[in-house]
This record gives sequence, structure tokens and C-alpha cells, in this order.
Amino acid sequence: MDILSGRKHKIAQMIERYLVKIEECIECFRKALLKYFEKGISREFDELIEKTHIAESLADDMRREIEITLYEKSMIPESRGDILGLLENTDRVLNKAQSVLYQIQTQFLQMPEFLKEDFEKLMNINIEAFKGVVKAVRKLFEDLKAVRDIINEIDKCESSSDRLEREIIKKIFQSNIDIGEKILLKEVVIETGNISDLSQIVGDRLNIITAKRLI
Amino acid sequence: MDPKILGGVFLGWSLGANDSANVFGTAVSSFMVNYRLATILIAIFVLIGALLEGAPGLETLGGITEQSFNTAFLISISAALTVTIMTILKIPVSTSQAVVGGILGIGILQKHIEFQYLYKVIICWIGTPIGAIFFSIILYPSIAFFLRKLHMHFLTYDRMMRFLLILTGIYGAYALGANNVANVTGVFYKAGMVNKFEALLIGGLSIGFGALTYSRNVMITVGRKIIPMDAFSAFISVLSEAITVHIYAIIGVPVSTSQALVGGVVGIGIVKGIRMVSGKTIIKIVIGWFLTPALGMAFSILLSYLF
Repeated sequence: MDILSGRKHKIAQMIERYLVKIEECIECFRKALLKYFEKGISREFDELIEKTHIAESLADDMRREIEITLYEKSMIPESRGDILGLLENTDRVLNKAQSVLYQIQTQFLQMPEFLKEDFEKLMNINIEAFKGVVKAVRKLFEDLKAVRDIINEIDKCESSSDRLEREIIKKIFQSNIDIGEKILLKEVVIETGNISDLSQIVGDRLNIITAKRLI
Repeated sequence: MDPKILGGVFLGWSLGANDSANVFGTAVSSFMVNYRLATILIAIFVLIGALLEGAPGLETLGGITEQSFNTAFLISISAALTVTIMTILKIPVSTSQAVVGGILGIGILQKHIEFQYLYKVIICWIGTPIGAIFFSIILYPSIAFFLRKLHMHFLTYDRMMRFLLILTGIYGAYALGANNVANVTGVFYKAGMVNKFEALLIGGLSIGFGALTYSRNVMITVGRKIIPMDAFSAFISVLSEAITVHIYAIIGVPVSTSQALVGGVVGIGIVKGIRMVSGKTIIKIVIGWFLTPALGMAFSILLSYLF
């Protein structure tokens, strides 16, 4: 039923562009970390951080533009509040991803060889959770019913991430590296895991938004 | 035309000012439709409702007792005073109950009351919230089932809810006009001061005038009490209210839109298994059932002795 499709709706189009920008940002984040695993702190790593930052800034601008448009459009206040809350929470996930990169960059963190595989796994799980957020938000503007399945996927990612975080932290503190380094590595592990925690918060919000509308 | 009909116009004005909230309160207080547009829609559809389906109510209210120019005027003033006092007491007031109270007072003095009309009216009063509860319980799951089948997305849902709230507001205004016009000019029609068409026209216009000039505050207050519900529940409660009030318009008994709206909200609470209306509100409605006609009656008797 074309009349029920929201593809032509201005806000839906703006949100779609915002989601594409977020995907670009996630991709930069992934590439930056992969480069870090490969070469450590390097010029290429710095460049990819910069690219992530630019994408994040553009996404921020888009979000603000959507927020203004939301107030210009006549909408049920509840719907407006739901979208605003959703965008702000999605932005937090984006900021968290960026902060992981800055943490590594500013603290000149060296990733020990024995952690690289696990950390890459952790990165993939958290990226998966964040991609789930993008997918779920997109589905919100296509088919409300489909949102819940994606939220379950995000929840699974969050649980896997929690388990893996604990394992990695154990490994860190069982190793012989310097205690200071141990603490810094632990922090970056927790910070990375926060991406899926925050994704889950967006998922919870989406759950409420859809529940209210599936009556 | 006798200037005493101004008493009815005044009553119609206060009815329009108070009851507009029951049909467009949610849409206006949540900024889905602006106040000016809402009041214009109310004024138009109240008049249409009054002209097309307001006649049966005139017969019922007119049938309770005999009327003269003077008694018709006294009943209007008694009802207006009752509505004012009940509003001050913050008890959801029914203009219909105030008018019937006033008619009863005159009937007692004249020792002439047609009880078959009176019983019909009282049964319908009790049936108003019950009817709205019933419709709410039936409509909520059935319309929800239909909407779920549509696989809508977020913005379409929002757009549809806005459209439905405005549409039910229009229907509510129509039902309000059809049902409540008799409160305003029923007694004047019975007294022979106006013919049927004039009664419906003056009644409809005066309710519309009340909506256009003085409904903002009540509309926003009532709307804000209702809108914390989700948009769908707000839609169902107004729709249940409108259907109930419309049915009573067809039967020919003026009832309370406020009480019908509360019934609609209670029905949603029953469907959802939660308490949507406080016990205090229900007690106030029950008190209103007795106090409103009693006050109307007391005022009409008192005013008869004074004038």
C-alpha cells in the first residue's frame, strides 16, 4: 500500500540521510581500528580518526536540522518526543565510538599481540550492535512490526560483548604487562563495550516506541 | 421574536464554551489543530448536527411539562446558574441535567409532569457513560486489530492519528449539536416562541458562538488531562463519546458529552487493565447526577416565586 509508505515524507528522507552518514561513520571507525591493529598508532590511523570525526560532525548537523524540522512540522507531541529522544540516544552511541578512537590516540595505547584477536572480535560485536540500531531505526520508518526482531539481535550483541569484555579484562590482568597499561587497556575495553550498552538503550527506546504504536 | 429567548442563547453560549473541550480538546491542546480552526469546525458541525438531527430532542424535552414564554426563560436562567455553580465546584456538569432539573421545578409548580418522558431521560443519563464504556471496549481492540494489519510505519501512524483525531472531533461536534441543541431551545419551542427550524438554528448558532468565543481555556484543560494517554486511546475515547451522544440524539434525549467522554476513557482502562479515571472523578459524576438536576429544580422554583 503506497499510501502507507513513508518514503516520500520529508522527515523520513532526512532521517535516512542521517542514517547513511552514521553508517559512513561506523565504517570509518571500523577501518581506523583495523589500521590500529595492523600498524598501531600511525599516520593512517590518525587520518581515519579525522574522517570519523568529520562524518560524526556532519551527522550532528543533520540531527540538529531534523530536530528543527520536527518542530516546524505539525506532529503529535508524543511522536516528536519519541523521534527526538531516539536521535539523541543514537548520537550518544556515535560519540562513544569516536571516544574509543580518541582514547587510543591520545594515550598512545599499544595493543599487545595476545589481545588483538579478542579485541577485534569485541569491535565486530559492538559494530554489529550499532549497525542493528541503524537497521532498527530504518525499519521504524518502513514497518513497525519488523523493529522488534532487530532489537533482539542488538540485545544478543550486548550480552556477547559483556561476556567477551570480562574475558579480555581477565586476560589483561593475568598478563605480565605494566599495571598502568593494564588499567588503560581495561578502560578502552570497557569503553568499546559501552557501544553495545548504548545501542541496547536505543533498542529499549525503540521497543517502547513500537509497543505504543502496535497498540 | 420574544427577547426572553436570549436566556436560551446565553445557555447555548455557555454550553458551547464548556463542551467544545469534549470534542476537540485533545487535538487543540496537543497542537495538532489550531484553536481557531477547531472552533470554526465546531461551530459549523454543531450547526449542521443541530439542523439535521436535533429535532427528536426538542420533542422529548418539550414533552416533560407545559411551557409558557416565562417558564421557558426561567428554565434557561436556572440551568445557566446551575452550570455556573457546578463549574465553580469543579464537578463535571451536564447542561442536559441542569435543564431537565429546571423543567422539573416548573413541572412541580404546575403539578404536571409527563413521567414517561422523564423516565426516558433518566435512563439515558445512566446509559451515557455505560454506552461510552461499551463502545470503547468494542472499538479499541477492533480498530487496533485493523491498524495492526496495515503494517504502518512511524510517520504514517502519526499522520493517521492526527487525521482520525480531527475527524472524530468533527463527528463529535456534529453529535454535540444534534444532541444538545434541545437543551438550549427545547423549552422555547414547547412554549411556542419559535418554530422547529428556528429552535434548531438559534440553538446551533448559540452553541457555535460559545465555541468560537470562549472555549479556549476549558479546551486546553480538558485536552491536557486526556492527552497523556496515547493518541490512539484519545481517538477511541472521543469516538466512543461521539457515537454514544449521537445515538442519544437519534433517540431524542439530550445527554452529557463530558460524562460520555469519561465513559470512553474508563472503557479504555478496562481494555488495558488499568485505572484511567480516579475514583474521585467517578464519585463527582455520581454526585453530579443528583446535584445538577436538584440545583436546576431549586433555581427554577425559586426564580418562579421571585418573578
